[in-house]
Amino acid sequence: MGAPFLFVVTGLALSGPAAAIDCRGSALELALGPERSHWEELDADGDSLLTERGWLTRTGLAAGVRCGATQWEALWTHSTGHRAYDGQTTTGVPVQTRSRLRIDALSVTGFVPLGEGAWAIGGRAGWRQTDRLIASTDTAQGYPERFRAWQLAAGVRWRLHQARGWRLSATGWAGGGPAGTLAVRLPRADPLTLPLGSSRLLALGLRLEGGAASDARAGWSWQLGLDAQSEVTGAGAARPVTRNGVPVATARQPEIRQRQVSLSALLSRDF
Amino acid sequence: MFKLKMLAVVAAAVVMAGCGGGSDTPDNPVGAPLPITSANYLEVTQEVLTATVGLVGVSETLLGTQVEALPSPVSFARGRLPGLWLEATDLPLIAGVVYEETFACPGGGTLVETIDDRDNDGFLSSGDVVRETYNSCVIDTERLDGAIRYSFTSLVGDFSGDVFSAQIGLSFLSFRITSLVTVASALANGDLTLTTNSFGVDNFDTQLNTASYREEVSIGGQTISRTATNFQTREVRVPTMAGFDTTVTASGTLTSSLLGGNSVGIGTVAPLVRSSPSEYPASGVLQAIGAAGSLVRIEALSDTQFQLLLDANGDGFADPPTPVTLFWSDFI
Repeated sequence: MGAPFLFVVTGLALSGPAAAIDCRGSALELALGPERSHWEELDADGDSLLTERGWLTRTGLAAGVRCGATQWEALWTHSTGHRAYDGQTTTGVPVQTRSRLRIDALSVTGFVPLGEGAWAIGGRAGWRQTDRLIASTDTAQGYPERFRAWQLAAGVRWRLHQARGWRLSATGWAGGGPAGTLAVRLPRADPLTLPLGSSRLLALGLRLEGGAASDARAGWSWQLGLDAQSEVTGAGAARPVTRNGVPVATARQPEIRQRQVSLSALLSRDF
Repeated sequence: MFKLKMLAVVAAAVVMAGCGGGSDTPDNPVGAPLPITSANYLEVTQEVLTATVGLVGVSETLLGTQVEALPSPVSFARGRLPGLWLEATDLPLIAGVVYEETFACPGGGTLVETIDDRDNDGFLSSGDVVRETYNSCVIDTERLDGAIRYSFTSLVGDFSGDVFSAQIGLSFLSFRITSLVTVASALANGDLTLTTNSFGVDNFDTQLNTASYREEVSIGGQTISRTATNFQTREVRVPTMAGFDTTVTASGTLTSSLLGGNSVGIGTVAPLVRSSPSEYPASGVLQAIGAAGSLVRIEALSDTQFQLLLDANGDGFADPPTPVTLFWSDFI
């Protein structure tokens, strides 16, 4: 909900120092593409409690600028769709249903080239909010959840090939984040906020660019991107579940393992 | 649920002493009657329903978030019954002795099993007394401390099947269950009598009676204590064409820290009846009675809603803001 606002604020924030540090070559990008999403939750013994798989539609808006030697980019993405849920109830009865997803993510990335070569090193700070609604079945109740977390990552970019009019580059990221939060509305219970565990992630990307950007000139350019990310979020601590303020149970978020593979087409206007 | 066979025997002995009989459970305090008013009638309703109907008919929730019920000593003791049979090694067939065996618990600590097989038949039967004493015994994700004594007044059939009848005295002697995952714990002190007749699947008549039973549940830095005094609950389930009907009655005195340490009397005007697959009772009336004739009447209107009538001054007339109609799902 607040992601677009944060995106605008970040863009404005970048524009300030941008003007002061001889920044040039700004760009606006629009991205669209499918995302294959895989989500698994595991108990304390490492046994699978549930898995979800599905396709989401991912859109994005990015603003970029080069300040000195550093290439900055602020990116907001919005993904929506459904996943097939294969899990169980609180008493261990197997059940299948589906979950509806809405994910908003905001990140700020900076890359610094290493000399005149093809390598660059970078850092990324990101925030993500995931809204998940598990649909009820005839015999079991679903409920809405909202996950929020911050992450930092360090990465490298390798320009694999560059020719007139196009270039191919690869990126790799490793990082993680502190404990996030999960706001959950369990059936017949008061609203509850649970802590998540800390997270760690690995990501790889491949980018094919063509048009003005590949030749470092103003104009229109395009990109095709393939990105894969694997992420583990540790289990959180238990908290009391209350009903009208009276403790009636306990709840905790188990360990989460996520994998996303996305394909995106980007259109960019370079200034 | 665990069976004794799963635990390694550490020691065994024959104890030439009597076992069971008499009460060594502490006295549990009873709070002063609570004046039921427009300021607290909802809290009273919540406590009465939690202590009676709330234990019956829990609906399923999908896993995403892991939800666990709070530790329940009574449920634990009832869950032990099917496995509570005499497989003690080298049980001597000598009249008048009590056999004691110590088991090492899988995650640490010990369980001392004291068996008084009074008819010397080597099996659980009428008249036998079994005491289980836990010393920081860790099994799966729970740590157990304290003791439970099972006194079998009568037993026909066995708990592993669907047809049996039994009357069992359950004595909780500072018995504590602590969840090692959620860190919630429950401490129980007091005597209960469990009378159960099982006629088949979803066909039973179970009654719990107590002169005094107290539970303290600790979670998230908060401790809630409840004491049942001269309390009786009865649950009867009979099969029907649609599934089964469950009838619940309750009476006695409930003292609760959530009522400021005060007490209310609970009475059943008409049994609460729930028909599956409904989650809540569609008929029945409970009453909570406080000081100076004050009371709140809880009347089922349907399997989704109930009505509250408050009589704060004991004059027999409903007082504002009642009558109010509420959803069962907001309370249990």
